Amino acid sequence: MSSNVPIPGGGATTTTGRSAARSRVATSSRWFYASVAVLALSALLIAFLALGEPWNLAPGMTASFSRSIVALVVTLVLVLPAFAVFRYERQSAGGRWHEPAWRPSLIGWAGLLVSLALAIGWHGLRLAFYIARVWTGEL
Amino acid sequence: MRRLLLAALAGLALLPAGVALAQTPELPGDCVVDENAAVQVLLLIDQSGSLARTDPDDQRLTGARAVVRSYASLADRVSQVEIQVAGFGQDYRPGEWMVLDQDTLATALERVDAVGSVEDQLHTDYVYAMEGAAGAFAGSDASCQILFWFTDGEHDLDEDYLADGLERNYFPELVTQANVTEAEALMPGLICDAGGYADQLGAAGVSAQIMLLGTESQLDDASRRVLQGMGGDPSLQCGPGNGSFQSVDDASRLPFIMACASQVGAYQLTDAAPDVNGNLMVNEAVVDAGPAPYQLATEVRLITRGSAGSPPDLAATTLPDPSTTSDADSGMNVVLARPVGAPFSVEMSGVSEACVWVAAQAATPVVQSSAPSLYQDEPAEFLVVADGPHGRLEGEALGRIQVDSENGQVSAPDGTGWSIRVSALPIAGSFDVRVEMVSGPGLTQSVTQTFPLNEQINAPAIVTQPGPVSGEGLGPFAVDLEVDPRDGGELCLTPPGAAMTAANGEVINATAGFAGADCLQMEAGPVQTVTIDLTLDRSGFAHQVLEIPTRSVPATSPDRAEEGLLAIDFEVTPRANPALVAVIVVGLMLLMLALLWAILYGVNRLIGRIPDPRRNRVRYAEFAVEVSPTEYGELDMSLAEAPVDSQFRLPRRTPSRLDAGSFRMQRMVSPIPWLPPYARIGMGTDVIGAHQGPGLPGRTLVTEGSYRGRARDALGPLVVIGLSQTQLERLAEGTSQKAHGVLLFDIRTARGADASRIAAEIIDDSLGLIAAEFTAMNMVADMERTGEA
Repeated sequence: MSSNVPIPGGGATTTTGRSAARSRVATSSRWFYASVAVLALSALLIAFLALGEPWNLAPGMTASFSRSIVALVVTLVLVLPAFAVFRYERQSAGGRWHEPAWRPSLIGWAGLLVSLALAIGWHGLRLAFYIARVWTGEL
Repeated sequence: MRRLLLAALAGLALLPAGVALAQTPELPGDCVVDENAAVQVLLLIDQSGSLARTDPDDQRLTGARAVVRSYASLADRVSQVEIQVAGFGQDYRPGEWMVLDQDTLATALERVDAVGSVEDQLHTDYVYAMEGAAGAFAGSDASCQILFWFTDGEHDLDEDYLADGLERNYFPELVTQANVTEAEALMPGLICDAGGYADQLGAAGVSAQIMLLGTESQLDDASRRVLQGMGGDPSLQCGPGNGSFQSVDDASRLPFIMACASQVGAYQLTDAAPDVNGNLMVNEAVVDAGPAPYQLATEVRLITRGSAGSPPDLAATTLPDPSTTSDADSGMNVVLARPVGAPFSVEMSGVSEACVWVAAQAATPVVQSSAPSLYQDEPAEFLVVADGPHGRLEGEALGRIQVDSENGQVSAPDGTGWSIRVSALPIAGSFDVRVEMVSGPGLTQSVTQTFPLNEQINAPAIVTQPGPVSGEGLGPFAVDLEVDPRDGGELCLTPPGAAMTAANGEVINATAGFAGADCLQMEAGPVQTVTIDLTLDRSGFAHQVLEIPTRSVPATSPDRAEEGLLAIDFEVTPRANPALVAVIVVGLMLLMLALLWAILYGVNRLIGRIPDPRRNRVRYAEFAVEVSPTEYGELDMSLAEAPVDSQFRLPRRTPSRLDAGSFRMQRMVSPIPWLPPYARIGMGTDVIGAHQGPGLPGRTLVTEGSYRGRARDALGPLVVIGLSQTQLERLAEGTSQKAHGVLLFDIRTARGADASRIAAEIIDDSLGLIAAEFTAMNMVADMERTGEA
């Protein structure tokens, strides 16, 4: 991540001063913050789905299975599309932005990485172990 | 973890020595519903001619049907239900006893219709009615006897129908208009006096449920004494007073009242009532507000009434397969739903009045010892848990249950159960723990559990049960035990193993041992940690408490031994194929990375799109440039022919390419996602010079072939000229050349002649800067060639 982070709605993007341009900038800014929020909340949701669940999945643990499947679905349906919006809006911003400690871009990237790490490293891995155990034990 | 502990402790419990009979809500007359109860019901229906006036729509039939259905629902909870449907008026018209259950219900309802629809009797004679009822119950050995008596009025030998006289067996003469008053006056004495029919019924254990269509105030004193006295008012001195009495003056309410009055084996939720909009909601909270926790409820009966012709509707329910019996004439609807121990709701609409009953099953206490072995003269702790009809009860529900034991102090429930502490176990071979569990009124269960006691022989003993153990594959799995050697001796596993059932139903045999041996020799000393190895004969998914009996022999008394039980909460899974795990995880990672790459690459392609000149009103114009070298070795560029506004053209554009005459802009997106996209700009010539015009961050450059620009350079203003290598060589020889150029220009900034003038100015300014860049580049090239600093 660079030291000068372009962000929609910041800096020199409003060069024309026309209302249409201002509207585009405002819309872009809203999409950007919405995508950051979705990334952060999805990370929290995926983490929540991991709480209290046993490492070993066993037959009959329907709720536990569902939580892991839901986490993967959230990753595919919410996190990755939100990251696409996040990336597009950030890349399409023309201006530069003075960054506070917790800038939205950092939250967005952290949300993405936490989501992916938990989805693969916890939910995916326990499902993988279960599949591998079933393969060993039943097939 | 708590469940695991419970399961482990459950393994320690021995089979109960005896379970007391469940007590559930009572039948009329304090008769308890249980599996040994034999119930006899005499449904006695008034057949007097006055019913044509008081109940013209035969609502009593609907009510009587509800009564029969209510008792039929008892059939699967008692040993037998028998019913007889009889009529009375001036005579008693007996029916026949028949077994009542769901199979015979239809036949019983037909008898109700046959008897209840008759209204041809001219008089209403209570004496004959009670004489017949007493005769019907004579010799009965049923444990529960119920007389459900419906009448629409008082005892009346109607003078208008006496004609030549009416023969009555309790009056010595024919009853005529002259002596009818005298005959009627005998009635209360014959029924209520000592030895009368009320006493005979009471002595036989019969409880009377009396339903009057009308009001008590309309009755004469004699009839009121009989009906209300037998109906439970002891002050009227008519029978044992073990019955109930209810009256209703509106015939349309009769089915509802009779249905409510005949509910047995259940308790009523008195707070359940419809709201002002006629909606009635019964859920677990409503049931929980009753005398017993909702987890014990097995059936909810919603008897509701709307209005004549419009019975309430079952709007919604979360319970499966509710049964609904609705009667449009009386506007009554009876819904039976069966809770399953989880939160639920049943919603009715169009309700004007309702009575809600709940059938519940008493929780059964299960007593477990918290230690694997019990010893005489030592303190002990027992755990009591409650099993309901839908499974084990936990949490707040336990707070509603009262547990008592004569054997020790019972603690408050801790969310899983109660503990009973015994300060010192008796010196005996066994110890009986008796527990009484009261779940609500009439919901009492008691159990006596016998635990064997060991003599204190100081053999090695397992101090506490091991914690949960989990593993994969076949083992061996190490289980650490805390063992107190006491006086030393031998601790054996007998047998050294146990079986568990896998999730697919297969049996997995676990073999346990102390480093391969069944027994462990121990010297006297402090508590030691001993490891047991568990080995399985097959792999599978299983989670169970392995119960392995133990036998300890003290070194000091080898001829004596004590038994114990080792309980291991053991969870095992098949061994995972690590290669397969790796393949799946890598596949998942690759999938995610591929999607991420696709997103980044796709976004770069979107970002790198060349703006649409049509939308941004960008046009291009081609022009000719006169390029000539000066005497100082510089280049001079001047506009040979300025474009006019009529020559402005719309560039051809796709998101990846823009063509404006000989000018070309190509979008370039790297597959490496962190490299930003750019636009390659060229004229198809060997050398180009370009200047991004005023109004934007200026940029002038001269380069070979093409240069790396930005997609939004396509918005202009941009001046680009192209020169071939031949032209450059001729310029170097001092010969002027004509070059070709292209201007990209936003036509919104000017129109008509202004556009032509501004375009010429932009090109002029840009050519000066480009020429300077050319000159500077040539100077640098000369200096590099000559080595000049």
